[in-house]
Amino acid sequence: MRLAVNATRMELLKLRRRLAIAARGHKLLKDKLEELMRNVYSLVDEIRQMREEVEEPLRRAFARYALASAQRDPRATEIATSLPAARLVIEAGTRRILNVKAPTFKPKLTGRIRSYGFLETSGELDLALKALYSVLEKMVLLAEKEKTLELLASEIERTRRRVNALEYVVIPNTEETISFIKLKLSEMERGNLTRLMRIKEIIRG
Amino acid sequence: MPGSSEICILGHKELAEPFRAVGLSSVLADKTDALAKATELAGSEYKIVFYAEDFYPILHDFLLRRAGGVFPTFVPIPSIGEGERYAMQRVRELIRKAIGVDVYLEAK
Repeated sequence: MRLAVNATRMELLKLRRRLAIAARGHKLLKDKLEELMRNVYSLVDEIRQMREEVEEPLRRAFARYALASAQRDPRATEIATSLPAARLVIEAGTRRILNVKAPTFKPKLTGRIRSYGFLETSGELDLALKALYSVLEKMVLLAEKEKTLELLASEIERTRRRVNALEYVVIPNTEETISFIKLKLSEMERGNLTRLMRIKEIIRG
Repeated sequence: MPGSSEICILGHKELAEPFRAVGLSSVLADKTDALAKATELAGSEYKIVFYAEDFYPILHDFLLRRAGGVFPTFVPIPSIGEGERYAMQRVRELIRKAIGVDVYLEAK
């Protein structure tokens, strides 16, 4: 679709400049899109592997915990777990991947798991907590990767929309308008020339 | 000793209790109040919120709205039993959104 502008030399120059910028922007955005996709591909493998490493032990730990609660008085199990001696501290920060702000987490586990007596709790509770303790750091790293994937996916969607807008709307419309102005200017030039020739003929004679 | 001030678990009692035992904070919720509790947690100082994956359909729109925010990071974890595996579905949705095809499934 042609842009609504006056067919003047000034507009032609402006549109040519705009077209050059749009073409450059399109190339840069396409490069950005490719790099974002490359980052996503490398994240997919890591996330798949980490999800598998985290989900199975978690399911097992929950099953063991349920068993521990069933084997002994659930209230005793609840009390045993209410005063933890272990602590997970994370150092949270951000980093930029192609101008996308993504989180970084450095987990650090301190303390011991068992802070309860063995008399009123089941052995299954020890195993459940041990299994949980072993995947905690991995869970934090998985959170970092999944959030990065989420942010990259949103950025890819946004960038793709911009690339398409430039490729299918802005650049073709500008090119069409430039070509229209060129034709219009040539037409005006031809008209002027004819008029001058006609005037010359009248003056001569 | 109080729970971690940086990580929180949002889930049922059976899910939250074991995590509390290893030093994480927990917020108990069920399907009726999960959204309200998640909204509250979104404005908190927590850096990561792990939520039970069976809340995913309830929290889906809420999570989409705050997809651009970095902290707190909401991540699903498996619930007790086999369930619907929403955590995996979510990852695959994100990959489809980014790449256009489900490379997760292809890689498997």
